[in-house]
Amino acid sequence: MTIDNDKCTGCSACITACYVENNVSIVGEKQALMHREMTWLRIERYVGDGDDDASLDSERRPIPSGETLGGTQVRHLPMLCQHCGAAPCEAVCPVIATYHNDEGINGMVYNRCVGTRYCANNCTYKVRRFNYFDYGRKNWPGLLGLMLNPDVTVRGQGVMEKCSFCVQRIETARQPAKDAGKPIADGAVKTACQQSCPSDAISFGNVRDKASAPSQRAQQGAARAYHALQVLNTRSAVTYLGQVRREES
Amino acid sequence: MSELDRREFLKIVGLSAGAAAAAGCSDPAEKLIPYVVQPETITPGIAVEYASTCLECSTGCGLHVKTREGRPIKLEGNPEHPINQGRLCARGQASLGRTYHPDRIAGPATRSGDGSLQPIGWEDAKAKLAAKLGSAAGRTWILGGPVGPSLDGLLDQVAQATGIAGRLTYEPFGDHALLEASRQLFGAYAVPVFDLTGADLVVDFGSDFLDTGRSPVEHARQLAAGRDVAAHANGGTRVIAISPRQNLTASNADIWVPAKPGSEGVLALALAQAVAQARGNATVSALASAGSKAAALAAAGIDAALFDKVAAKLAGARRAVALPPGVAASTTAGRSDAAAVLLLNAAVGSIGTSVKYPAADAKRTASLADVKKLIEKMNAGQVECLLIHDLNPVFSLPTALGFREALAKVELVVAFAPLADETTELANLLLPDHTPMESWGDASPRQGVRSLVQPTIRPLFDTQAMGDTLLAAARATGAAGVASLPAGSWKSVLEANWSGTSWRHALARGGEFGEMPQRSVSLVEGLSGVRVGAPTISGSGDLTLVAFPHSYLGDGRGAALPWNQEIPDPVTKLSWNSWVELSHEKAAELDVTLGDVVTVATEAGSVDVSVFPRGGIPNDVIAIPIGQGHTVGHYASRAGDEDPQPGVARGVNLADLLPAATDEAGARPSSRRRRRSRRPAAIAGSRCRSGRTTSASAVSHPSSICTTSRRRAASRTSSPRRRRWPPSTPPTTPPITPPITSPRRATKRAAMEPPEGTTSPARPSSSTPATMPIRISPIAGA
Repeated sequence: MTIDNDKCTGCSACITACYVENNVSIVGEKQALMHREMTWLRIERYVGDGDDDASLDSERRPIPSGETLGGTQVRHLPMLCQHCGAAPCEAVCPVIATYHNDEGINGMVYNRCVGTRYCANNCTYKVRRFNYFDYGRKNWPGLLGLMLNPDVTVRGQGVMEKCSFCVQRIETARQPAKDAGKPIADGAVKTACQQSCPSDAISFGNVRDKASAPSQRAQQGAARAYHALQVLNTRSAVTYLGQVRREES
Repeated sequence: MSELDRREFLKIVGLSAGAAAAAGCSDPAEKLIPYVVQPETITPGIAVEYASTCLECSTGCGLHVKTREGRPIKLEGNPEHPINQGRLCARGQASLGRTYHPDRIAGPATRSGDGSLQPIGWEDAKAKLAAKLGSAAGRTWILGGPVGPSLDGLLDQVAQATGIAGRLTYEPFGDHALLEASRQLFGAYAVPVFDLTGADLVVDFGSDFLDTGRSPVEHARQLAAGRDVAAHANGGTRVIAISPRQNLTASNADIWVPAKPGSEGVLALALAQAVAQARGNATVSALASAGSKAAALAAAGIDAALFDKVAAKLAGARRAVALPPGVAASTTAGRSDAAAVLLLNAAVGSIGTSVKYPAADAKRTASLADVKKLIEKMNAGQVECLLIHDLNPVFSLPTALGFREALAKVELVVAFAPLADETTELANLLLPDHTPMESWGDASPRQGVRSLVQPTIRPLFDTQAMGDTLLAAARATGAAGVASLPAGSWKSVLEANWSGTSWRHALARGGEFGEMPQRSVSLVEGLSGVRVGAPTISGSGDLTLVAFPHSYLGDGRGAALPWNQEIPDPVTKLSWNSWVELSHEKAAELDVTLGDVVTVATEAGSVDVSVFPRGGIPNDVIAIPIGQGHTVGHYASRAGDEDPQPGVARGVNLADLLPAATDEAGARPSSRRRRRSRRPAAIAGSRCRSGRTTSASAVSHPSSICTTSRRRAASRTSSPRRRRWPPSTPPTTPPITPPITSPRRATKRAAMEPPEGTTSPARPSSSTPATMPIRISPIAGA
């Protein structure tokens, strides 16, 4: 996956698309206050130059203060599971509930997960979400459960979950490709976030294929391409293209 | 004692084990029924997509509704639709939940004397409506939101055939000011299409076009294409955002002009004058002669260098587009503000190229002034029956108008809303409509683009399409004009309206998508100079209130949907509640910190809301999002919370703070006049409430702010010793946003230097007057 931060406006259409596609639970105000939201994809908003000497309030929560009147140093960074090639989460799972498949996807086997939360603890990007409660059963009152995507498991209590690169969409594309005796064509799989993005910031495909859309975009924007926290050598599968500043503001 | 043989024993044990298992199982028994005759189009496990139209706002994006086994499970954009071209915004995605919503009204009902609902049959319900229409048609009104052209035509026909006194179509976020300004300047009563394709400069006068503007998905796509660095070596389109508050557009802009609220028009006129002179456009220069740089600088509170920079960019642009103010920037001077921005477009020569007027005039819709007149009639007892559809006036009209009280004087209030809301709570007769995913309909986002709405699921409840209900009721009145009504059902009316096209083809594609027939417009001959009056700002407090639309909640209709509540606001990253934005300096001055609850009072009323201090807002401005404050609804109010509190509002309703002011459309622009009321507008100091969660909650995104119940408890117990913010930093230099995770480093390293090279941020100086009246944004009235 390649994400062009210069195109991302932060509108959050991708987040809603991800929630609906992947049966991601709503947790409600009380749980959200305890940071138990289940979002698989978030948009981080960075303001200012991001110096380290930022002051934190007494509870060590960040105060948004890089904003200045007239300043436009705002960057939006969609953050989702990076499907690391050397994933810190995989090594610590005692039950191999999170594993790496041969297509490079960091998978989650929900019925293996015993809820140790080691993986979330070890995740560099803080993209793993834990079902503290049976949100899937509780939080779809009335007929809302009819809207759930039957291709995606509704996760139960005590299970870790995270972005799957819309693996159900990959599987939907796999059978026709298999029938035709060909690999899945570039562009045959669109993740939910990519599909909804109004500014076309996200492209998804086989990064090993140098002709695929994400590879092409990463090559075109090589001057501004980076992996999040690449200094940690997690070998992230998501390439970000940095934002361009057009004016001295 | 009788012998219990083995067989008998097993029977008993088996039976009791089965009973125990049944009692212990919490899921209700469901029958799985296989297809005996499988529908031709459905293969279990394979999704079927239908083309339809999103009716969540009035933009009218095309949809592909993905259904599985007869149930819509996902909404995606229709790639063939010219407006959204396959993409869909957050609100559109979330609208899937309407059909399955716990707030759905299960069927027709009447309200008895004690306020409880009594279910009735459709025949009785329609007979009740028909009886009233027959006996008191001349005292019956229809009040509704905007609907598609076919339903609009049918409603007009029904109103005419039955002799209904009047029909008002009112859109709280309508484009009245722009329509009137277009007529004033170009003689065209139409909303122009702002096409950003090929533009090298976009100047946004507070419409927040990337978030809550006129067509956010379309504009975001056009801007992304125009800014693609792979295609444009110089970086492509530049964006200048003019807004008192750093909204999503200002966050993405290259230059942000933090002009004072209400100064958009004065600024636009001065820019039009400067640009027209620089470009030698004598016509526009003469029309904009009232524009003065000095007045603009004083009104906007910006320095001359920033003004000159914007003016120079506009003068030098190959193709510039200026976007007129939207909801957040609507003032009592709405029309002249819009006229000044259109004049600026004329000065840069974008009328006809980037600002395209459709050939046909827009249909006149009701303004807030018309709604006011209706309320007067209701109060005078001249309205016996009121039909309300696609609108929640009890919630969205300014409380000061007294709609709720006036509604009590109407004998029969009929509500067609499919979901329970504040208005259906006060209605006597509920005739629930289908949701857009269950019904037929159409939309015409712009001339030349007709989009179809088709049902993708069998109605889940005992609901009926409003068109059918009204047709049946009108026919049952036996009024003389009824013969002129179209025969058949609502669907056949729709099909007849689409008769010139291939119905099947349109259904498969999602509509009929052609080019918009454009009219060439020019400035009206003999036009007198455009003058921009300062907006009438009522109240006498030292802070100006900006009411801006919430990114997902719209005018409040999105608050029912859980995703719109849970997913954090793109700028503040706050969710599930209301907040008031104010500057760090102001927060320090008032001795309040994040999450503290303050009282915001205007002359219209007051609300208690928690504080969100930030750097992206001037010291004399506060901002509260529109859309929360519902008292009805599983998600919209606190009825569905973990500790349910039915009837308790989630957040605050801005309608309580806004006066019933209207703009000057149709009249001469108002002169500079400020009315001061005796009651001061004030933010009272920190005040925490116990028991009720009033603080805005935040989702733990690295750049977000979080206010927890723990924190509130702490500030409750330590109320005498108030915390100062910031602890040690002087108020003039706000600290830098500290993200928790450190991808920031990578971002910082990889952020590409601009070709010109970055310099230190130039902060526009903003003069802060000692007193500034509370500034009210009336919701687009006329």
